[in-house]
Amino acid sequence: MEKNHNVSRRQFLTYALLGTGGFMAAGLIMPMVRFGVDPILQADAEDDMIDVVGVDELTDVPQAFDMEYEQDHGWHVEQVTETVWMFLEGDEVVALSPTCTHLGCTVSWGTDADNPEQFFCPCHFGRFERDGTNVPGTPPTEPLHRYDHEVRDGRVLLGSPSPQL
Amino acid sequence: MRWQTADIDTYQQSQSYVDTVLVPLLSVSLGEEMKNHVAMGEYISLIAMEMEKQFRGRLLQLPPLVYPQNEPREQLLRHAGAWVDELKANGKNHVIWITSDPAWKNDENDLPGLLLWFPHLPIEHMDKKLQQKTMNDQMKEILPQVMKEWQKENGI
Repeated sequence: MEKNHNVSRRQFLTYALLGTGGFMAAGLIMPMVRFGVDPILQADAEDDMIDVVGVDELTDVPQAFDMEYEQDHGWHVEQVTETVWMFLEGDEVVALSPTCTHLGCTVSWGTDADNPEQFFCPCHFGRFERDGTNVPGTPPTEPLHRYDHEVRDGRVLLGSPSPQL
Repeated sequence: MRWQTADIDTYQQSQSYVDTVLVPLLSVSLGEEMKNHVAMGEYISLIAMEMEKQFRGRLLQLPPLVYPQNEPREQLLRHAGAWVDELKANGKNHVIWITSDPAWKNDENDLPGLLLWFPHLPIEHMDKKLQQKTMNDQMKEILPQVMKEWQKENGI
């Protein structure tokens, strides 16, 4: 016993037009949306290590080196230069970020006459030991961030800085 | 810290640490000397960016004070004075003006705060490495001057 579906000619036409029209509109609009948000949808580029300096240039005294790379902001690419403090601890390479963990000023090695063997922040007199540990009683509350690193063919390659805690 | 909303949130949370304001003084002229004014402006903007990076946690970089080259000096000084009033009213003790415009050197004593004047260097002809080095050298010279300003009990 089959039920009789009564679809009028008018209804059929309406459905058919809406259906095809909608399909076509979607076909037009989707690529546009996709194009507009493209950088957001892309998987993160592999976190590449950046070649900064030869191991033979490092000493056991911290020195500042420039690290250059391109930063992808999605719609535009910016050339960035970062300073990194590097030295040798025995055979081990140590790479520290110069950004004070208090409020983000730039620290330097040995610029405070009273504490030549420390990193010093001129803004609020924050101090850090050679390994980046913050000196208690100065404003910073955590050590300088440390870069991931890798030594390949006598060159030091750096990743990104992360907290030491 | 910069004049942008993200930084201003940080500023408002740590206001007591930020006692210094940086204002670039930029002259504008469309006359024969135009290129020179553009170059000076570019150079000073770069210095401002470097200083902001160096002293981020203690210094708020304000938008530049831009003026036509021919503006009468008394009027300009009055205008700068109005900025200083606003800063003082909000507890800022130090203002650092940076410029390449030599006209300010004559007004140094009438301008409250620290005036740093830089002869503009033709960085547009330098490669990236040399630019960076020039900036680093410049910062080394600026650092003691800023430290000296901070040692003053009462700034502006």
